[in-house]
Amino acid sequence: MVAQAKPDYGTHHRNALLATNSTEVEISPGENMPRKTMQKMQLKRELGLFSAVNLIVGVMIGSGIFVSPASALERSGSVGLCLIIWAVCGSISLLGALAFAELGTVVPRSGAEYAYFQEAYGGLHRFWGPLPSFICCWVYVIILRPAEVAVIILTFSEYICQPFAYHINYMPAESQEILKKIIALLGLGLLTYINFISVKLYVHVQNIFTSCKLFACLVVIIGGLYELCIGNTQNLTKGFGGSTTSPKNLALAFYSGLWAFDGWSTVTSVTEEVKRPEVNIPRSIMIGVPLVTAVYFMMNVAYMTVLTIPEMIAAPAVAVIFGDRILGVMNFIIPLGVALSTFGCALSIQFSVTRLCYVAGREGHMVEVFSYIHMRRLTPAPAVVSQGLLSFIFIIIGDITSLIDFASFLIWIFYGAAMVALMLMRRTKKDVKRPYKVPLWIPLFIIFIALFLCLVPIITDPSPRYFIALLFIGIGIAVYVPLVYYRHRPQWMDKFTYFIQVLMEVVPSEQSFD
Amino acid sequence: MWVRIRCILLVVYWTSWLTMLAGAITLVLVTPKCSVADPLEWWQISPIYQVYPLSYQDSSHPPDGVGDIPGIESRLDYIKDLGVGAIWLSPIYKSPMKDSGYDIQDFRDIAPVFGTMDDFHSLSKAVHKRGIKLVLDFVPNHSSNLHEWFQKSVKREVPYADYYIWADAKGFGTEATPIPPNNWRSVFGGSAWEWNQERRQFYLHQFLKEQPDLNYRNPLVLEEMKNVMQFWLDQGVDGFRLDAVAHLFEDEDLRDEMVKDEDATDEYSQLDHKYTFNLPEVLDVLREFRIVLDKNSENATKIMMTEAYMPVEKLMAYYGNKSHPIAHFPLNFALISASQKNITAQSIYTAVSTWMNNLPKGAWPNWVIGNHDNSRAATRFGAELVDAINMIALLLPGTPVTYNGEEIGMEDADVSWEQTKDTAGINAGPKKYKQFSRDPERTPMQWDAGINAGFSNANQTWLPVNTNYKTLNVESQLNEKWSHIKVYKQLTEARKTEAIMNGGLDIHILEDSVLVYTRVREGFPGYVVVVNFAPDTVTVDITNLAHMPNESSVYTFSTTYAHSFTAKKRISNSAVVLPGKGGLVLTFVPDFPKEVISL
Repeated sequence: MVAQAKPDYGTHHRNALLATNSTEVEISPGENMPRKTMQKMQLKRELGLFSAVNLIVGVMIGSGIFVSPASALERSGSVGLCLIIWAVCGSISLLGALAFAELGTVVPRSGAEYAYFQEAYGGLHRFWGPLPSFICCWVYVIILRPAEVAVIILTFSEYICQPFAYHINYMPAESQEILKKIIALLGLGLLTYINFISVKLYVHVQNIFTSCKLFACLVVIIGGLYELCIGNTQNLTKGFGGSTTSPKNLALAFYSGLWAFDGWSTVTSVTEEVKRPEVNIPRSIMIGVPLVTAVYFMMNVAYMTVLTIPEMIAAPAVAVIFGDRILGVMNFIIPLGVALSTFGCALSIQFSVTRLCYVAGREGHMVEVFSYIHMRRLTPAPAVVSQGLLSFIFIIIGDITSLIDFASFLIWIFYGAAMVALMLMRRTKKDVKRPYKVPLWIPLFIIFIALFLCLVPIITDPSPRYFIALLFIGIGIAVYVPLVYYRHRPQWMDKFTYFIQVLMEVVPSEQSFD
Repeated sequence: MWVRIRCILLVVYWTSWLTMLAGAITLVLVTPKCSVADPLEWWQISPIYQVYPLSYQDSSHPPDGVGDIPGIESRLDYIKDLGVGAIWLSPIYKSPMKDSGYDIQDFRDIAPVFGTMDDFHSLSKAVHKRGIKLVLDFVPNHSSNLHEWFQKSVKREVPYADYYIWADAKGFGTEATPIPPNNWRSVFGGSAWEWNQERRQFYLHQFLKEQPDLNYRNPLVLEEMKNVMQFWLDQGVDGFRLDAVAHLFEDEDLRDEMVKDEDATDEYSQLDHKYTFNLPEVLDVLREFRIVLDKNSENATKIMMTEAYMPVEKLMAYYGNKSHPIAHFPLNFALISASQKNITAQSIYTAVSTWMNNLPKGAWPNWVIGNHDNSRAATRFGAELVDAINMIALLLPGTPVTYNGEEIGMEDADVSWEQTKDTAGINAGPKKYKQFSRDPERTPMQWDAGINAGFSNANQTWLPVNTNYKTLNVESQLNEKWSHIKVYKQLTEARKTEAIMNGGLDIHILEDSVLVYTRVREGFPGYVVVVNFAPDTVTVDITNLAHMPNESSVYTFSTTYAHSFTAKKRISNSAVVLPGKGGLVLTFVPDFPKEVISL
């Protein structure tokens, strides 16, 4: 089903558009391209409310809650304080997500922060205006998201191997490492293909995987409740004993808690593919984020019932130990759940970042061909392939977790900047109909949290490694100046675009035609 | 053309995908497997608890002052609660009790004083119902002189004539006194040879003269003993502790032994037992026994622990090797030996590290701190060190073996000459009996402050109950806020953790008097045991140990600590305070360089 383009949609779009040169490429309609399809050449709205909720849950619940939920516990020092921190982090994430819901209705385009930066700051200055949005997509598209996909799919490979642990554990460590990478590449190949071939297929796969993921969470929760009911409360009854009193530890506890919730803005990065976004985006957030908060909270209660604090902190994979302790022969559920969860998570992250890639390509911030979509499949095929390739490279390179650590605090800078954009647009775009509006204190609060989260790691652990983040930005600017600001286009670029077009059967999306 | 290229690319994509899949599968199948430790078994996980049946619990009607099998059964909940995984029963076989049951009259029957075969089956069922294993004492070296085999051997009946070691007299002295074939001595003193008037030959007894040595150079004897072993396996026992195995063989030519140390207090130690102790043939026979056990191990391993007192380097041969395993472990008496001299952090460190360094690859260690042949640990180490020694023994890699009563820190009792039952003591005479008698460590278990410490309602018990039973007993320790038994139970509980089961060992001496070791396995809470052997308070900094963070929590602590001290408390690792003779077990989250990302 093709949703109707909104009248005001195009206007806004055009206003913000950096005169793209897409039209200067004369594409000849492919040999077998019917004219009818040509007219509807845009990403279709395939995501209903259920799928949108699944997308949020899919990205938010990765492997963290199964593998390393204990850092908040380690910092907070007590069971009681830790649970409070989880609940508060969930609430903060909900507030942030609601603010994004408003942004999503004001700027009904895919790309999340990128689109909002473009809309809010783009017109302010010829050079500095578009820069934030460019840096945002640069960091996300080139480094952060493909690296995340690589790390998550490596986790997937580790857990999918568990049923064969008998064979694998007896292998020398180097072979295990190679095997892990091969399986990760297999997973990556599969998920890239899914995203390449069809949005509908993605939606189906995602719905199934998210259900499996929630089922695994449910198993943990029920297991914990059972233990509680039979009177295993000695770990929980310690309550607030041992709570930290140091502000630094408290800050770090919040820091790690909020990371576990990251991903709440995902649905706004695919706005253009959500059916009735003005209704479904706020709704999906209102359902998805509290759902994840509740799941995280209950899972923590379950873990803490069965495991002692030192056991949780020291465990390499908390849920697996939990499973071994109480699930008996059914303990394979947990590694399987983690494997499915991580695969779904990687699939969704790639899905959403290819949309950012696509929007950025359309705006001339990325290689233009990224904004082209497949004639029949209606997927942003070049963007998907490029993301697949980037993740492929990251898997091959190997140790990239530190890379993510260094760059990820930029995410909160982007969230903060998005809140500024929200307030700015309340002034500059007064007339836009806002079917959904958050009170002003919410964006202010999120800005405060954002500042807090970028400053905490720098203050508590000042180290030159944060310059790596600056280095990324520096390279971004070095790219921005000639290619985006001066619109320098190398000669071969047209040939390359043409080559990709005929190779992948892709055409510019409809909006780019006008 | 483009259609074809697309087609080809798609084919290439999926072909390489499938190739990688095939590659991954072949990699798994083809890669040579390197050995990873097998999952631990029952005999490795929990401590083995030695029950001395004569002194554990009397339940006969009317009470006879002697422990029995139904008595043990009545105390199983206590044993289960201690957290031990196996019970090893000292001999319960039919016996004239010249060597408290180690002189066996019928290898296949129960001594009436302990009960009947039905009582045994009932015990076995009750033990297994609680998930505990049952290990019996197996005495291969000798039988009682009342054993049917010996009786028939005396009469030279076929095939028993050569079941024992017979030798003609070297000659006859004045009044036709037969002269023993050589100078061999009994472990309990005196000649190892006893004249049998009926057969008119000497028979060999390395222990009491009521315990003639079986002749393992006769294949029929080995066959008989293997059948005895099989008999008990068929009754459902889970393994054996093999008694005095180093004595199984003697020199065929009966050569005299050299005098090693004329001044040794006991006659046995004066000779160098080159021809009667630890002969190479011993291991071959033990291997035969092991094969019997392995044949019966389809469902769960049947274990073999061997008893032999010898230097660690020689003892390691009793493990056998990977293709020809012998004992699951030879009992390790290094801590007992260390306690018989001046006890220091250094001596304990040496005892532990010597054993660990000599341990063959893949072999499983074990730690014995007391048994029915040695003074009570509380007496040897000193009552203050009881908890600390349990901490050391229970948390080291390997299986700890606990002699009943050590969990409450029972001490040697004062047994008068008139009350002495141990033949080793009696043989030494009223002047020297205290030096040799093993009765002090064999007195009845102290259950409560009631009559005979709750052991028996009889007017008199077979050995006197230690007079300290009013204050030192199970019941009072269970009621106290902190006690030896509570420490012991905490320690058996800690053994369920990965770090204790599979973690590495790192042992050091700090400040001359403090022994400290860590048990660490990546991904699990680590443990550190810190014991101060000095009589005064010492403060140590343990932050320099590998993987040690700045803080730990107190897991358990010895009763020498002040009453105000509590577990679960967080303490700084840079200043760990230990009272004199105090022990402390801390748990901590080991520092490993780790990559944490939460997505």
